[in-house]
Parts: sequence; structure tokens; C-alpha cells
Amino acid sequence: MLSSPDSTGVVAGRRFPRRVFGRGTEPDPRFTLANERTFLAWIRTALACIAGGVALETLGLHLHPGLRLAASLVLIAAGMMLPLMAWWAWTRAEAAMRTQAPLPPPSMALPLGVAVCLVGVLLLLGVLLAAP
Amino acid sequence: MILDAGLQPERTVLAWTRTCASLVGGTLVGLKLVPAEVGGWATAPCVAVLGAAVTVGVLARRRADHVRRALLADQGVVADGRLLLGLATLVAAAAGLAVLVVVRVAGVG
Repeated sequence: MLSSPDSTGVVAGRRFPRRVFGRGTEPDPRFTLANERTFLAWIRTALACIAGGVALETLGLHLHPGLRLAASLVLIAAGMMLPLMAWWAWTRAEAAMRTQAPLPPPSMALPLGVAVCLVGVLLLLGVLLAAP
Repeated sequence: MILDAGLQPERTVLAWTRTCASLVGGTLVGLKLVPAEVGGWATAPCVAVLGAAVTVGVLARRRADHVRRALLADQGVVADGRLLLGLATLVAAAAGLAVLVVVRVAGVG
């Protein structure tokens, strides 16, 4: 029933994205809002990654320059990918809640964990290999 | 009737506010760094991100008022992804500007 107004008068077919809202029923509003806050927490994580990446390079820390730049770019790349992945995860969780399906497993924890480990390794090597 | 009907939208709008405030803060730093490192043309995208971040924050606050009224009237919440996708795109764009800064500071671009 894509075109029937729900209890708040919003036409379901006009909600975005349609592949999420075209199916299922309205979940408990608390869960909808919690899903939104989870998305926002990932956005702030992405902002922290970007800020860290910029700070690393602009503060001129005494590290191996190539490794410092690599670590910085890994952080900023994470900050670029995370918002898009967070958006994707939000749509999947919303769709699952609407269809009473189990919530999808966390999809971003592993990529972020790998990125942060990689940054750690690069910075460690950057310290060890810094010009005396 | 949900017991904490009024607090749920409040928590959510606070999450929106601190997220947009972080983006605004970061972009203000960017306004200082980006033109100096990348060139004068880069001021325009920075100002655009700044304006869009403020707009998203204002829209989120307006939506929170709507959600609170709907919850208090026991009508449920109508989720919509537009504002979320807009914010995600903004942050990805800000990351693009950050790449330019870092590459210029490092002297490889």
C-alpha cells in the first residue's frame, strides 16, 4: 500500500528511500529514533577520523613523513567511507524493524577496527623509522 | 502512550545538534586551513559545507518538534532518510576537502 496515508498523514510512497518504507509496518518509535541516533554516532566517529587525519599531517609531528601521510590518508578514507556505510546500515536496520526481521549484524565495526589497527601500525613504524 | 515520549525526541535532537556542531566546528577550522593550503577557490566548497551543516541542524530541530507532537499524540514516528543521506554526503564531501589539505601539506600534490 504505497500510496495510503498512515496515521500521521504522510504518504508512505513519498518517504525516502522507498525500498525501505515501501514495505512492512511502522516499528516502535523508540527503535526508529534509536536507529537514527546510532547513525549519528557513526557520523561523529567519521568526523573524529577526519579530524585525526588532518591533525596528524598539519601538526608536523616528528615521524617518518611517508608513513605519517599514509596513516593520515587511511584515517580520512575511513572518514569518507563510514558515513556512506552508516547510511546503508541505517536503511538495513530500518527495513529489518519494519518487517520484524532480525537486525542485521554490525557491518562497520570490522572495517573501522582494521583501519584503526592499520593506523596504529603505520604510526608505530613512523616513530621507529623517523629520521634522528 | 510511551512513558518517555518527550525525552526520546530530545535525546535524538541533541544527537543531531552535537553532530552538526562538530561538523560546523570542523568546517570553521577548514575555512582557515583549506584556502591557505589548497587555494582561494576552495573557500566556496567550505562555505557550502558550513551552510549545509547549519541547515541540516535547523531542519533536524524542526523535525524533532514534529516528532515530539506526534509521540505525545500517540501517533508514532515517521522516519525518513533524506536528512540522514544529506548529512552522510556532507561528511564524505568534507573528507574530500581534508584529503586535499593533507596532500598539499605533505607536499605531494
